[in-house]
Amino acid sequence: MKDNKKFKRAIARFVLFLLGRGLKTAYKLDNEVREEFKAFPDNTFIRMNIAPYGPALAFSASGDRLCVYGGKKAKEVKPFIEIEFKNIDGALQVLLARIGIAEAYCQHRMLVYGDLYKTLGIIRIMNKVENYLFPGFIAKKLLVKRPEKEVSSLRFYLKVLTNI
Amino acid sequence: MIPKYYEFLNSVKILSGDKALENIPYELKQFNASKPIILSDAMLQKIGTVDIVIKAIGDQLDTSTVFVDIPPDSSYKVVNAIREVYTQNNCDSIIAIGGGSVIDTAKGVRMLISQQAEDIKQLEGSEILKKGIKAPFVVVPTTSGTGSEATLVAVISNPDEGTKKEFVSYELLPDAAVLDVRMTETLPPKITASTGMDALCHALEAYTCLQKNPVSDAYAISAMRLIGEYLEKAVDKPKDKKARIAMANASLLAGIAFSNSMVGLVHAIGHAAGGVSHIPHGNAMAILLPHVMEFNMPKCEKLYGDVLLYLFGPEVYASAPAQERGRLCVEKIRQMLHRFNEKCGLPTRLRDDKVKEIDLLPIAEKAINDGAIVVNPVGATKEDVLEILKKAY
Repeated sequence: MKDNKKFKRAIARFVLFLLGRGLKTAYKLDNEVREEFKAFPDNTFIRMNIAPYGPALAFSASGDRLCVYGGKKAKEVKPFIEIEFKNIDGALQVLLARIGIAEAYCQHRMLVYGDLYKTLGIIRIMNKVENYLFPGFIAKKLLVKRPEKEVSSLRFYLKVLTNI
Repeated sequence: MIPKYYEFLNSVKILSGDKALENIPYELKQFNASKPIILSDAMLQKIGTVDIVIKAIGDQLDTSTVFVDIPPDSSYKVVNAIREVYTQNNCDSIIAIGGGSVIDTAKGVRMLISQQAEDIKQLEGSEILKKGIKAPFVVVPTTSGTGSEATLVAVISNPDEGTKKEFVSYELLPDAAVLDVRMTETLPPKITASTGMDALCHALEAYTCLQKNPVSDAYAISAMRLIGEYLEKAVDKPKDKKARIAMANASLLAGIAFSNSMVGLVHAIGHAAGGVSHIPHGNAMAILLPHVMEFNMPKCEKLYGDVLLYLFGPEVYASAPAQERGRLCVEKIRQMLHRFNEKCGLPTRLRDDKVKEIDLLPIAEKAINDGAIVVNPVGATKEDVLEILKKAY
């Protein structure tokens, strides 16, 4: 049973890694995403964490760069806003695209530490990244309304994979 | 339809009807409390509402600590100040008498005490509060609209940042809600209509938004039935005790419903309009409701057809073919609003209240950052919101 949870955490760690790449890419390629980040003070961290043992993903925008931390480093930052999933199984529902962020919120799958109004910007950013990362038929199921893409998913994927 | 997963909690004891106020001492004594801080606002003290409650309590509790300097928009500073008063006077419980602002302020004070926090800023967030120190909390609503006496939400302004902050936690639920007609029978018809429309929006949005579930539906439907039968009666005859207590119950039931299934786009835009233009919340709800229903129609037509039955009864429902009921519901609500406009001057357009055309864009920008927008059944962008606002203007 314990190993099963370990395996689930390993999957979550991998998906969070991809999500981090997706966030970095969206920050570079999508003007709306960069605009959304302006609502947060420079160099302050937003963290997504999975209780009780992680993994976590932390990110912070500053100028042209989005700094993304995983692993121990993500745990060490003092976040401006933290979204914490109550457990690994609830988190995987979202990370494996079984439900969208809005549905996860409806299902009380996560807690928010910090300003709830500003959290809405994070949700819009996540929706944008999901819309790039997932094929159309999945994105349609996950998102109440699909946001506009500023670049093609192909270009987005290439950037995510190469991380340049 | 059963959601894949949902949660529901309402732990508020309801005391409703004749001599309900007189039971407050008994309820607090169940918690071994004897010295409440009484929170209200200056107007309610001036018109004698606070005195009615204190008189009903009699000498069974120490009611010497009364704080009525609560502004129309509750704020961090007031919440922190009241906590000081609570501690200095060795109070052991809270009685809030008022509308949304007083109740939300009281929730803030309760949060500080239960979490032993110095500053409410430390507690910002959603579902992050753990069970804390007991601070028995009784709410006596003086309007029939907010439903705040039974919700897990509080909105409190941070004057330093010039923003409103939302707190969501089951720890915010009061221990008891006391519904007594003596608290609402002096409300003028316009406020009765306005707050009643707020209650209707709570019930209708709880019934149609993404977080709906079978239990919240039961509360929302009960609320809509009561509103359909009694809101116009309460507006027409303010002293109609049956209509008053029915509306107090409707407001509470709608509060329980939306506390567990959230509200949607009407509230997202309404909160923003209140923040930008200071339009009274209920007026904003009344004006925006039909426009947002039209926006949501592609996803909600069938549910609005159900609402037609709950609000306007079986004869109206049966008179329309199934595919027309949703639209008829919007039309019937519009007609009701026009009747309120003629009877008591409830505005039907934003321009007739405090909203200027120049405010529309800032309202739209603010509305998309309101949590309520997340659970609206149809996704709305800033442009969509602006379009709705233009129609409602």
